[in-house]
This record gives sequence, structure tokens and C-alpha cells, in this order.
Amino acid sequence: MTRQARRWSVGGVAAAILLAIGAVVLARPGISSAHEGVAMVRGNAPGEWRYWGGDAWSTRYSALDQVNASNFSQLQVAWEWKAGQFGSDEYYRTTPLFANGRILTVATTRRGAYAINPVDGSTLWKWQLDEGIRWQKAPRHFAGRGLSYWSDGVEERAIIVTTGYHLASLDAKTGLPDPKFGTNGVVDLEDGLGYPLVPLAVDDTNELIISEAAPLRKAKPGEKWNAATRTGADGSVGIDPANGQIANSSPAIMVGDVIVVGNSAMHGYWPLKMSNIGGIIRGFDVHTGKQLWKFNLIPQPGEFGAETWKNGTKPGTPGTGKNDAWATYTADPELGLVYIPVGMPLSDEYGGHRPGDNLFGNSVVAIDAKTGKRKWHYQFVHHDIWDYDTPMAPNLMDVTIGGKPRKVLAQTTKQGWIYTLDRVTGEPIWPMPETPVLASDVPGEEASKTQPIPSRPVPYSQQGLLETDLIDYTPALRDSALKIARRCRMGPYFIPPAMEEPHREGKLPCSWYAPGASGGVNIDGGAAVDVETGMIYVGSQTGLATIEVAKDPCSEHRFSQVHDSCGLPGALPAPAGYKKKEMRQAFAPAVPTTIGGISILRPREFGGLTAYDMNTGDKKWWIPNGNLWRQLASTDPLFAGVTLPKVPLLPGGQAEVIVTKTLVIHGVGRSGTGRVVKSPTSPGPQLYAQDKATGKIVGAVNIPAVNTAVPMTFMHQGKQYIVFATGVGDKTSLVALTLPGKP
Amino acid sequence: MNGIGHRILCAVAVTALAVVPADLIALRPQEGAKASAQSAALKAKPDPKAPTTLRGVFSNGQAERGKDLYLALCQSCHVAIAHTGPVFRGHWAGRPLSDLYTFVATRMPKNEPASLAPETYADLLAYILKLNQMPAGGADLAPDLPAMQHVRIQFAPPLKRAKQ
Repeated sequence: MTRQARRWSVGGVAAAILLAIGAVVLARPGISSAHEGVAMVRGNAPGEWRYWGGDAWSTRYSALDQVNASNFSQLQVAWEWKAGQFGSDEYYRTTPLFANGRILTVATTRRGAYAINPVDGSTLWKWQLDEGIRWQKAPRHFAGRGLSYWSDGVEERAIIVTTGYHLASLDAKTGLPDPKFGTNGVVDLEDGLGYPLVPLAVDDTNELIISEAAPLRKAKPGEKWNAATRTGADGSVGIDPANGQIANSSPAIMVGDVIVVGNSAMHGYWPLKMSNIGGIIRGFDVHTGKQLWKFNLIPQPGEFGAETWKNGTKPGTPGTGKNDAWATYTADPELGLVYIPVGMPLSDEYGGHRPGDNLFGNSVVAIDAKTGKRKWHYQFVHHDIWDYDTPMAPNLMDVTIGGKPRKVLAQTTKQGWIYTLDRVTGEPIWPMPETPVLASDVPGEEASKTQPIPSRPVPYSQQGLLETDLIDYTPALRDSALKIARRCRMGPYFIPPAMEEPHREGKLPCSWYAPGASGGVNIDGGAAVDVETGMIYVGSQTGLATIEVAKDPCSEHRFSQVHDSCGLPGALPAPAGYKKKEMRQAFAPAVPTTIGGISILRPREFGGLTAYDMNTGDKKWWIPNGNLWRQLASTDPLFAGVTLPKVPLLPGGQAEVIVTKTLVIHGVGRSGTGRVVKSPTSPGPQLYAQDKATGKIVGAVNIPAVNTAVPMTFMHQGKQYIVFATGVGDKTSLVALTLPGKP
Repeated sequence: MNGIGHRILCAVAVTALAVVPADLIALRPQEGAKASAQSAALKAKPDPKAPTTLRGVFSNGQAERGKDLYLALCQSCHVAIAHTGPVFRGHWAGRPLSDLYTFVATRMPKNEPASLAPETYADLLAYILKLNQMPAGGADLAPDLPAMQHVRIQFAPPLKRAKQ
């Protein structure tokens, strides 16, 4: 237990057993009681931000208009809440909530919950669970994306899923755990999954090594904690780590009185073990913490979709694992449905151990929040071998298509497409024909013969690599670009990973990979919608990489991303005759994507911020992230006499966007770290406001550092605030902007 | 064009001269001689008498900048122990620092390789060296490939856990 955790514990040391729970109420300002009788709009109270995505529909839309084009640039920092004072984090990836006069947020790798006074940024209360070695070896060591909020008009709850995978229900007024919920306000989410809980132990003081080396283990009988070495059994219990790892990175979502909780998993880059824990979605009663239902994202024998796993799905079956829904969720309270964006199955780039389409991987699943029954699902990628997790809460919209009002779900994806579905039935709004795609030439890999390809809207990121994508400033440059391009497998999209063995006759050792594992859209970006007009604004990135698999000599998997795990704790022993490979082979070979520092990709309107009219599926406008450009130039003689264009400064970063009554507002996100810096000729990090119809920047305000997560906005005591997370390590904070003067 | 753009522009030009892998340069017919010379230089054997990374080749301030970049840009895919553990040490011990720099600067971030300024890559490298408990010196590590070819990567045994 760290000193910090001890300091916060009020339940005493309690170290020998499990957990210490602490809440500290720092102040009780005159904050009003819960809204009684206020009509909710998409699950949100007017002027508030009760869900990660603004409302249950994940619109990220606020009807507020005090901050508008005429005054946006006059915004000032009202306060900065220093999350780093409570501990360190990775980058601060949180969007706080605002409900009934309080800002509610998470902070630090320990993932405490905090309430903040919106007027001055003072801390109202804080709560944190000491999770011992469950925390130490949790796969996702960061503050997470935020909290969930529930109120019946009298009682209020802040709901948190911790780093070590506990669910807690706190009184939003005081931060004290709800004694009627679970055990003293906490439910162990590792319980109720069908695995027995066992005592846990560690052999080292480090975190997990990606993908799953140096894990927790089941404690030996009578094993004790060694305080000097910080190893052994500290009293924590959990699922036997031999089954795999489980974690959380995004908040639960409230649908009525049901808390809908999923999980995240270990990275699947280069797994060591042939199976891991599959993704699950569960419903819990907000009043009691009782588990109401469980939905298997890897369908078990007899369940719908189990036949899409030809080798079976029982826990422990080789090739099973993941399919975790690690992103944020969306709900339609009227329909009683929760929409779950599901990640990919185990091993990011090789699926030879899991033949079949692998439902519900890479799907959105609509689940009845009361019963846990599947209403419909749609799989965007069959048998994923590209790390194309569904990375973002889908956006719900009511639009008019062909003269008819339609209830729509728009799913932004890593693939560079919005997949648009009827959210009642799951049917595509515009055709998405199953289209033949390239076959894999990797031994044992049966890539899906087809993938659904949206006919509209047009994509927002580079996809695949075709000759028409290459620069052609001069014939010589085109020739050079073509020579580079032809060194790896080319195609329009879904190019299967190649096997990294140059000597295989007639086979290329690499495949072009666009979008890459980060998208397209990823959890940093995603879309905001205008509920009045049916426009959607997508923040995405674009780029070009290559994708290869190879045999990791110390992994159980036949192939994985190129990696040598030999020597890592938990890896297989090195095989006979094993010799450490030279660096260039051990990591994937570099196939350059530039000539003279200039990308071989022809500049196009990709990445940045793309606006579509979802009444028609038409693209309306595009701007680079932050509307920041750079002039291309090269000293390479091949470019002599060539006039090169301006290109986006941050193609590989995601614009983080919200919408208000009259503005699109975005920040550049963490990719601006070290790149968007103040100088005599640059204002440095800013938040930008765009005209909704044209994308024209109508305002910009200097901010202390680049935002690191999607902003939010709310009204309190007559003032509109815009709040966003920023910073890394112990420099994390929430920054609040508001207009000068009294309301 | 603003100042940021200019900084990146310069960066790209430097990258083009210094970091583009030899196999790409070989694609340019008019630069064959230069390509082979550069190729040979990039693959130079480490000089056992060369100064090592235990001699303070970066500054603390630079490593601090590098830490911010690392947390913002790297750690969503990598954990620090993957850049300090036995596999990492096995790969890089004894190699010229230019190899590590070239690898990071041409391969990362995966989705957008070679997209950061050379100074940014150097800052990241400084933090990685610091993570490996290599001592800081008085000056920043410059993104100077020829200079880095004469610095050998050496780890200080025994490796203790880096303080976060």
C-alpha cells in the first residue's frame, strides 16, 4: 500500500484483508439539492453534462449559447484544478461530468473520484479505494475516462469503476459510499463472472509488461505479504490470473436504475497465452449493487453467435479472449436500449487460432438494459486482424432521410468510416454491401472473404494504399513513390497483415496499413452531433504504416505482431537453438513512407475535423486539426523545382470536439504535445470555435496546455463554463474557461 | 506560415538528410554513391572505446520534457518497463545510440512514423535513457546522427527500478 493510499483510508489499515475505503469531505458549500421535476433531455438536465458524451445519446451537444462567436476569444481561465496534486497519471484522458452544481471527475492512476466546486475549482470531496496488488497489476493504469451519474430527483450517486475493477456507488453530495450498495458501497467486479475468486500474490514490484508478462498469480497456501520486498500475498482476491487479466478504462452508463458496466483487457499486440478472459457486459441495480444480468461478448456454447467461433468459445479455449467493450457507451432511455461498441478478439493481427467471424467482436450490440437480452447487433469487421476495435461511443441522432424521420445510430470507427444504422432495428441506413476483400497469405490465417463497405458517407481517413493515392509531383517522384508502395501489399482497404519473412517466394514481407491501429477515429477523437440540424462533426487522424506478423519464439501463439518475448516473466522458455534476432528483424522492418521527408501519400482532406449532413450522408466541410498547417519542403534533389503544398500540422492527432447552440468547439488533443508550442509567431495551445455550417474558425482562446480529452460545457449560476482535461504525469489538471465579468 | 510550421519544416529537412533509412536512399538513382556511403555509416560497428551513455549525454531538463512527451504520445501503447527490461537491454546494449534514435525516429509513432521533430525524438530518447538510470549531464542530447554514432549504449548494472 502506498503512503498516499494509507493517508486516504479512513477504514483503518485493513491491509491484511482486501481494501480500505476512504472518503474525505472537504467542504459543504451551498449547493442546491437535486433537480426535482426537471424534464430530462436525452437523459441530461438542461445546461448540465451528466454523461461522458454530454447526454445518454453521446451527442456531445449543449444548447448553451452564452459563449458564442462574438465572445469566444474573450474566454478566460476561471480556475485550474490540479489533479496532479493527488498523484500522477499517464495523459489525463478524462471528460468530467457536471450535475446539480458539482463537477464530478476521476484523477490519477489510482482512479479516485472527486467533486469540484464549479465556481472556484475547489475540491468538495474525494474518494479512493486501496486495491493493493489488484491495482499494481491492473492492465489499465490511468485515471480512466470518467464517472457516471444517477439521480432520482432526491438521491444522487457518482458511480465509478476503478483501475482494479471494482464498482462503487458514492453519494454525489458527500463522496461517501452508499451503504446499501454492494458491500459498504463497493461491488467486486471480478466476482459474478463465473470464475472463482482466489487469493492473489505478486513476485515483483512492477506493473504488467505488455502484453501480459509478469502478471499476478494465485497465492500459495498460507503465503504472506513481505513488506520489505513488497511481494507475496497482500490479502487481495480476484480471478486466478492463469485465466487472464481484466480491467476497465471507461465509465459505466446509467440506463434508468441500471448501471451498465463492461471491461477492458490487456493489449493484444503480442500475447503470451493462447486464451484470456472474454469481454462481458453486466447490469447492476443502482440501489443495491445486485448483478441483474450478464451478456457475453464472446457468446458461450448455445448462445447466439457461438457458431461464429469454429473452434468453440468455452473459457480457456485456445484463441478465445478479449472482445472487450473498452470504449464509452451510449443509451436511448426511451427505447430502453444500451449500445455497446465492442473491441476485437485476442491477438491484434493474427486470427489463425480463432477461425470464424468472432462475434461480437468489432460490433455494436444493442442490449435491453432491463433484461440484458440482445435486441440486435451489427458487425463492422469480420474476423478482425487489424486491431480495428470499435473505439468510441456511437452517436444517436434523429434525422430525416428521404423525407422520413429516422432514429439513427452513427458509429465512428478506426476504419475511417461512419457506419449508419437504424437504432431500433440495426438495419443499415445506406447500403453496406458485403464486398470481397484480399485474402491472407499468412499460414493458418483465414481472413474473412468479405467485409461490409459503407456506400456513404465518404471516409474521413486514408484507407489502404492504391497507386492513385501516391504523390505525382513529377514523373520521377511518382516512380520513386510507386517503387516504395510496391514493396508491400497494396489494396483499397482491409489488406491482411503480411508475414515478415522476405524469403517467401512471391510473397511480400509487409502490408500497407491505413488506418492503423489508432484509427481513423479512436477514443481520443470521435464525433459530436448537432441535434437541431443532423450534422455530425468527426475528429479523426490519418496516416500510413505497415503491418506484419512473425513467430514470437516465447509465445504460445503461432504468430503475432513482430516481437521477441523471450526472457520476460511468464513467457515460454526459449526453444532449443534460439538465438536473439538482430534488431531489424526483431522489430518489423522499416518500409519508409517518405521520400526526402515528404510522404508518398498525396495530400487529401483526411484526419482533422470532417462535417457530414446525416440527413443525406453528404460531406459538408473539412479542416485540419486546429486549422494548423505546415508548408511542405524538401532539400532532396528529386524535389528541385517542385512547388509543394501546405499540409495539416497534426495529421496523426485527433481533434476533440463538442457542439453548442451555435458553435463547433475543439482542441487539438495530446498529439499537440511538444508540437503546438508558444513562440514569437505562434499563440501556442488554443481551443477553437468553428462556424457549424462552414467550418470557418470564428474564435480561438489561449489555454495553458493542449487539452488531452474531449471538453465539456455547462451553465452554473448564470455563467457558461467550458472545462477540459490537460497534462500528463503529475502535471494533470482540469481547466475551466468562462467569460469575464459577472453574469 | 506560423512559427510552429517553420520549426517542423526545418525538422523535416534535417530528417531527410539524416534519418531516412539507407534502403530508401538507394531508390534514388542519382544518389547512389551518397547512398552507399550513408548506408555504411549507418551500419557502422560500435567503437568499444567510444564514450557511452553513462557519461551524461543528455540533460535533466531534456529528460523532463521527454517524460511529458512519453506520457502523452508513447505510453498508451508502451509501458515504461518495456523500455527498461531485459528484452530492451538485450537489444540495445553495446549498439551506437544512433541506432536507437534512428529506430524511434523512423518507426514511431506507429501510425505516423517520422512525424515528430528531431529535437522531440531526442527529448524522448533522453527520457528513455533516464528511465534506464543513465546519468544526466550538463547539455541536451542533440539529434545529431553522426555524433550519436560515436556514443555506445551502456546500461548501469544492476538495474534498479526507475523512480517514476
